[in-house]
Amino acid sequence: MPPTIHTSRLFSNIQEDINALFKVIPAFIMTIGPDGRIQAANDAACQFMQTPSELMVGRIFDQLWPEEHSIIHEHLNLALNLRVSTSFEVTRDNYVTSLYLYPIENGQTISSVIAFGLDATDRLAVKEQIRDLTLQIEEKVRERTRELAEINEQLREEKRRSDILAYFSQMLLKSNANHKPLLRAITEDISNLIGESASIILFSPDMLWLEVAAFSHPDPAMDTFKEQYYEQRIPATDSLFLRQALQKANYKLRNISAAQMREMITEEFYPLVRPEGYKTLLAIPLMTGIQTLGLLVVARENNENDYREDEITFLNSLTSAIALSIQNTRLMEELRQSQARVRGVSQQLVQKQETQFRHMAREMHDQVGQDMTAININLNLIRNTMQNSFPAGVGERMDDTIKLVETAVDQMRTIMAEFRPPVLDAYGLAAALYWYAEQFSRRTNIEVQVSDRGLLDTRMNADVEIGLFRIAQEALNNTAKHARASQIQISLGHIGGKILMEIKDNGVGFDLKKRRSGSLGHWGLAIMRERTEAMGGKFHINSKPGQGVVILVEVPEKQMG
Amino acid sequence: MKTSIFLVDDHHPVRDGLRALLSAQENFTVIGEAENGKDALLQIPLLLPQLVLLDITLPDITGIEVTRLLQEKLPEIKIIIISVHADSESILRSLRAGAQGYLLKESAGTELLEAICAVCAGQQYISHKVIRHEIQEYIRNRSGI
Repeated sequence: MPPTIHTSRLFSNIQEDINALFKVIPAFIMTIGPDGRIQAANDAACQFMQTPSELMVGRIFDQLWPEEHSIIHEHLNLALNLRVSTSFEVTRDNYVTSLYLYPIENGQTISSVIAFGLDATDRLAVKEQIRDLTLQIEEKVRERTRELAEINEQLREEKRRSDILAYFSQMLLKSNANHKPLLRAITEDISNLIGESASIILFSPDMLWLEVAAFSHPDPAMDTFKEQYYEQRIPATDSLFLRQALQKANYKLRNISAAQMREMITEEFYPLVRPEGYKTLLAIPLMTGIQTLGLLVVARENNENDYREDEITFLNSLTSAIALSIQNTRLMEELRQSQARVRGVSQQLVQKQETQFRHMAREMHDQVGQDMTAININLNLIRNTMQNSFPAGVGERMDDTIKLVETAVDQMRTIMAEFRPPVLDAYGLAAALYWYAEQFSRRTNIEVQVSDRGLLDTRMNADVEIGLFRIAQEALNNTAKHARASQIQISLGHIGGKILMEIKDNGVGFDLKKRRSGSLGHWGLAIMRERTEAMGGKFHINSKPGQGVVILVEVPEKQMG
Repeated sequence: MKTSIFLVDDHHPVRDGLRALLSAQENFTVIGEAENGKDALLQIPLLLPQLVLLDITLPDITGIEVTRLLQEKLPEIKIIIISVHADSESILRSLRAGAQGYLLKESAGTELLEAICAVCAGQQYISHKVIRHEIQEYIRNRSGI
């Protein structure tokens, strides 16, 4: 609030100076009497009011501003009656004036009020400009904030998408078995993220069949179609939609009615067509190289908006990953099948070989062995009968021949035992293990203990007997070659329809992780594993450096057939 | 008195040879022959030979099983297994089933008479070629049966 100016100081000897000052200062100055009439006005005031000075004096002050009369009257009242200095702004002809009213006291009474006016038009204009500017800035900020929020939302969406893309790509890369649950999760996410429905159709490698591998629709009522279509082979008959979609490029349709849609597809898919038709339908082929593995079909029924460029980019990336994964899965499956074929063939070969060995062993023992026996007996008979009548030297030749026959049979036996131990066929696995353990111990000086746990006279399927015997042979020979063991323990067992064989040594062992491939020991393991699998069994090996090797073979028990 | 012998072998030339070999001896007489286990088990209780020469491999039941069945009913009959197999397991099973002798077939011509004499004298006979201490060791180590 401006200070009160005392009359004594203002109106004494400096009255003249003030009057002179009044004339030159650009602000307008008027004095107003207690009756509200103008007592004096300077040039600026007259100019401002566009009234000659002689006409100014005596006029009622607040009536000079007819349009703002009441506000001025109020302020004047404050100054005159309550002796309060006030200031306010008034507008006249687009000019804004700041008015200051100072009551002039003369003793106890008010002698006059000085009205002091300053042109405030410029200041206000600036203020206005500032306000406008502020508003504009505020608007701009709001706009920018909106934009930022949008960008933020877009980025968030993009991040979500790229997260999803990364996640699914990783999962797809890993999945080389059943990828359908993953494809279903993908369509769910596409449906949520991009809308509205999403499905993945896969073709059989020969392109004759197709199946709906995954399907997602925001309407839960559509879930029933999953039951209907999943795992069902549908003939991949020619249809416009398929043909278009198989052009190896994205195929997009806008605003198609249900009837139009039905014309483009095969009957099997009619139940899927929504009665309201589609605003947008987009089919993206799942391609690897030259092959089309299937289609990703997304559709919007309610959302008017076409798929945006970034959304399509996202879908394209996803389909690439899906196609790659499906291709991988199929390749893995092919690999698995061809491995199984190779394994099957090698198993058959092994089986055939074993059968031949057995046959050969039997023939050798039963025929050759018996004939040699007869020869030996006959030679003895001849020798005994003609003992004294042999010409010179023939007797010795006869003795040599008899010995030769014995040696030949012995050699045959040794050789045949390598091919097919007669003990195995005669008495079964446990007895054969006892026998082999003894032979092995004698040969290698490694002590071998066998415990048959009551299986000594249990006969198993001939394939299982020879299979387990060969595994034991291989394991023992591996131990002799690599393990530097002094003891081996072979235990047989029989639990819940399974025959178990554990072979444990106290040798140097090895690091399972470091023994990947290449070494002879590895081949031994592979042979044992393969023979176990040929019997439909499981092969386990455990070893650590310095802790020996434990092999456990479990095979399903087959009754002698 | 001649020792009565029964021959069991499915191989005709072997049976013929054995018979001829034994017939050449004054103190042995072959009183019967069979070419399978069942026939042997039918004839032997009727003929009651003193000794049976028994092939381990027969078309129906094994010589070891025949030995076990005969020993159950007629423990006084001596049995010599003749076998193509030289493995410890076959010898162990034969001896545990009750055979007194184990003769490798290829040595039958040479060792037969020696084996029969030994068994008739109440001794155990195992072909020379088989290493005795190995068999004993195997029998010691081998559990079961």
